[in-house]
Amino acid sequence: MFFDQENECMDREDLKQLQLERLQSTVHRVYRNVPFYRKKFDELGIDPDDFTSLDDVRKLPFTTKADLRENYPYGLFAVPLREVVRIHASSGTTGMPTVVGYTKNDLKTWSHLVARNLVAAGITKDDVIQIAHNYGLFTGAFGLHYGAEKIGASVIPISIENPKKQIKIMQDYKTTTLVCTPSYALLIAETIVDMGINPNFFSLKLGIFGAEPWSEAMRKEIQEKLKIKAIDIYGLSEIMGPGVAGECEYQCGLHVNEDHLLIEIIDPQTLEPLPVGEFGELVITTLTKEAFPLLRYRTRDLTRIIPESCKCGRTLIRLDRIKGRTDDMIIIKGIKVFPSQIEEILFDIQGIEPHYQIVIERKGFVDELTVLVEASEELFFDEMRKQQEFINLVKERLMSELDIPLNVKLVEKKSLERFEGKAKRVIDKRTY
Amino acid sequence: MLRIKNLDVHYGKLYILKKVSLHIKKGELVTILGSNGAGKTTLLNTISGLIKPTSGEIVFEDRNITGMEPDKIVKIGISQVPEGRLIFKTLTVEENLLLGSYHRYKIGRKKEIKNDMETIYSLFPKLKDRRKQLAGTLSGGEQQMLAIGRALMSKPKLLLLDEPSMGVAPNVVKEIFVHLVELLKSLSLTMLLVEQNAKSALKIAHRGYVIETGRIVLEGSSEDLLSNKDVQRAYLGRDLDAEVII
Repeated sequence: MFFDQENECMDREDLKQLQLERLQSTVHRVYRNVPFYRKKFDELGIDPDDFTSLDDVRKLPFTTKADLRENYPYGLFAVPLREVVRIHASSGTTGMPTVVGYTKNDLKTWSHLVARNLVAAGITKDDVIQIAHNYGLFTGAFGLHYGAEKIGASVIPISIENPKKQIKIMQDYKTTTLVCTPSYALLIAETIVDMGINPNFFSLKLGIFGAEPWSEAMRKEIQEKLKIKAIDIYGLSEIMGPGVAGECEYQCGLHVNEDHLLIEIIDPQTLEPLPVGEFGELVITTLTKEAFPLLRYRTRDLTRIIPESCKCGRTLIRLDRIKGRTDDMIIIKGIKVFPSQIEEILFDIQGIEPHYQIVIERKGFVDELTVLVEASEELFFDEMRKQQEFINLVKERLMSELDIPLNVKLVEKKSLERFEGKAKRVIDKRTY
Repeated sequence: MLRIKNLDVHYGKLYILKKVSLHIKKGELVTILGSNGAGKTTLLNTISGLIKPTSGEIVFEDRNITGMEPDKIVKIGISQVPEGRLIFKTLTVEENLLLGSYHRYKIGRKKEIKNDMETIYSLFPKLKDRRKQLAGTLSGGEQQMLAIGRALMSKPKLLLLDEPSMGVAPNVVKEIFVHLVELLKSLSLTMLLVEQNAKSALKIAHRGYVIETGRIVLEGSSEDLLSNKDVQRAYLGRDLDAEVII
């Protein structure tokens, strides 16, 4: 199913032409309207007339979160504030929030792009969509809300509520699609079990999850517990919010809305472009945004381009699922580890609940990593010896696959904190 | 159908078009907006081969036509309606139309051309009424229709229109634009329309480009351009500053 087949299945050559035209006009507009970029261009000797191929995007300087903060709140806007009809801020997962703006046209484009992603996921106007993202400065709820409305689906803007209320509404209103963070979906699934309800009696068939990285193992867990198909959607407020990329029904990578965004994958250390297919940091240049265009924005999200074409017929390129964020990366004794890697292994072990926390401490000169995992009830046996054996098993699995020293601690079921929005998996107690 | 990449045009030392890239899909009506001297006419003249670009490429139906002679470009299906119409005022309407088919005028093809002329007359009945009249005696609107008719006599796939509303009474502009939309459908044409009258142009176009001092600074659907504040301020004559004070 397509929302905008003409553009989603455009011939790659035509797409490249369109991207080039839009890159050229974006560079001109940004140079003319954003003093920050004009100054940067002048300093670096960049001529806005000098962009003749998509590869020329590499001539542009990167834009980072720090640039956004330094220009807080409105410094990077390309239109006067009176043309801005909406202001959002990043969720500030890490550090201070950053402010973004939308013109009327930007909001229209945003709805359109999210609508594409939702239709690709399998949503139609007959669906009842429960949006359990926080409505506020966070872009997630509004973006998905607009996209769903554009398709003509019925939207329930429940926002964040306690899980029991979510479940009640889900039953009473015959929700077919749940939209939230994957960790919140798990919490809802768990609550359903606690309440003794059989999820087969729900009308729920689809979940659209995003706003934080989640593993394939977590997807499996959610799909089994809620008896739904779980679809990954990707976006970030700096670029627009959801609508940057999303999975189609085949669940094999996220199609990027390339006619509006130009993407690159770079090595986060050397900042050089990486060959297609290699994992690196995703960098995005907006091609049609009016209020808040960004050149080569470093998303800090790690992914790769999937070079093969997709069964669904879309010609839009696919990104692999986000492996982690460059700033979530844990470096222990020089080895890089992402929470998602730990998650993948844990979810694969029988007897563990899908909740975990990673604690990093510094003891003397040595960093120590401890993984806290919840054991299922039947496993929290009284026999110390058996418990120890189980801990050793988990520890060995983790150590052999990650190749780092670590400790494992078993905690009681439901003793770890649950999250309604984005989950906080890593607690870094090191002081620098 | 048409794909232009990084087109550079100089008049002597003057740099007129700067890395212009644009495309037109089959069946589309695309408009170019821009103020006087932005490079709109230069762009059309470069596409039709009257001006040779310094660099860049123009590809028409997968064929590189950069630097091709104008008569050849007409033959492969691009025809231009020039600014100010440039009809032959001392010739009759019919003679003007005949000139449009000059490149395919051969003995034995008279009938075919005759048929084409009838098609033009059915599209513009006013021209038929005045077929024997000298073109110079026609009204501005009629002259414009004649110029369009003449361009159509070469059986183009892509029609380039340079300011068709210029020097024409406002109510006639409307009539001409209605004709353009009809032509687009009935002859399955593709059109590139350069127009000062931005509002009317955006109303009939599918997409548009905004050109400023030789550079394309904006591209988008007509709907998006109509609601873009920069376009409103510069080309639709909307005084946004005044509106805020009220």
